[in-house]
Amino acid sequence: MSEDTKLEKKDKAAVAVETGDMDFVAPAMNTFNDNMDRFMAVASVDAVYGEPVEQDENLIIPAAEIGSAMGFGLGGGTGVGENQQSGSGVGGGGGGWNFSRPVAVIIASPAGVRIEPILDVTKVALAALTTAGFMAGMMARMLRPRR
Amino acid sequence: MADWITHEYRAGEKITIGEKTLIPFSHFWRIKFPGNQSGSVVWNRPSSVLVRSADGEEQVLPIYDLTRRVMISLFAACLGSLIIFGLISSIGRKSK
Repeated sequence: MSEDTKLEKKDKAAVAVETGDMDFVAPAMNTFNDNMDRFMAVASVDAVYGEPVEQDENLIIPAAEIGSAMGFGLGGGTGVGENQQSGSGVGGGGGGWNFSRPVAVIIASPAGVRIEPILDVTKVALAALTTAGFMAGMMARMLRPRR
Repeated sequence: MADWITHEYRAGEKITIGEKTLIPFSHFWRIKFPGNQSGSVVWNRPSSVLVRSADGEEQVLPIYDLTRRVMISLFAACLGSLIIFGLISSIGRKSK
């Protein structure tokens, strides 16, 4: 294979990835788009406020904090083997993380609307233990006689 | 604000109960990763609820994150205590 042909093939793969040529990068792009749609659902207000629940004359709406992080990468290329066989490929990878935590409950009744905050006792207790450990360590270090 | 960062308040769908109408709001942040590859961090939290009565009176009820406030207070108290303890112990050393 001539140098020009090799370059031409290499350019085709690079252009396909950059321009999103669907014939070339379809499987990877479909996965990417599906995940991106799910990721963007976090951004809606409906994701934060739950489905209202009716109990007697009250309407209870749960509210939660939502966070999400996601990253994707896509690449492609071509190559020529020792026996002059050429090949090309496209690949991608990604990762994500998300969390959700209840923040408050909105209670609407004929008497009025009130918001009841939610205290995550486990989280606070763990943070208090960590803080206490850190403080004890730092104080012990400060009290240690200097050489 | 820069292109890579988005910050806005978003209104949800109206919820009607009796003569009252509730409009929930959320506080939305998005930070895009730099470069050509795709990726971002999204943070969405409830911010407030607008309550509208039949007579047109409006009331905004803020939503506080009690857990976060308690944790921030805890860390601030820890930091403050350490600074005070450090100052006292250094003054004690100097006076010896």
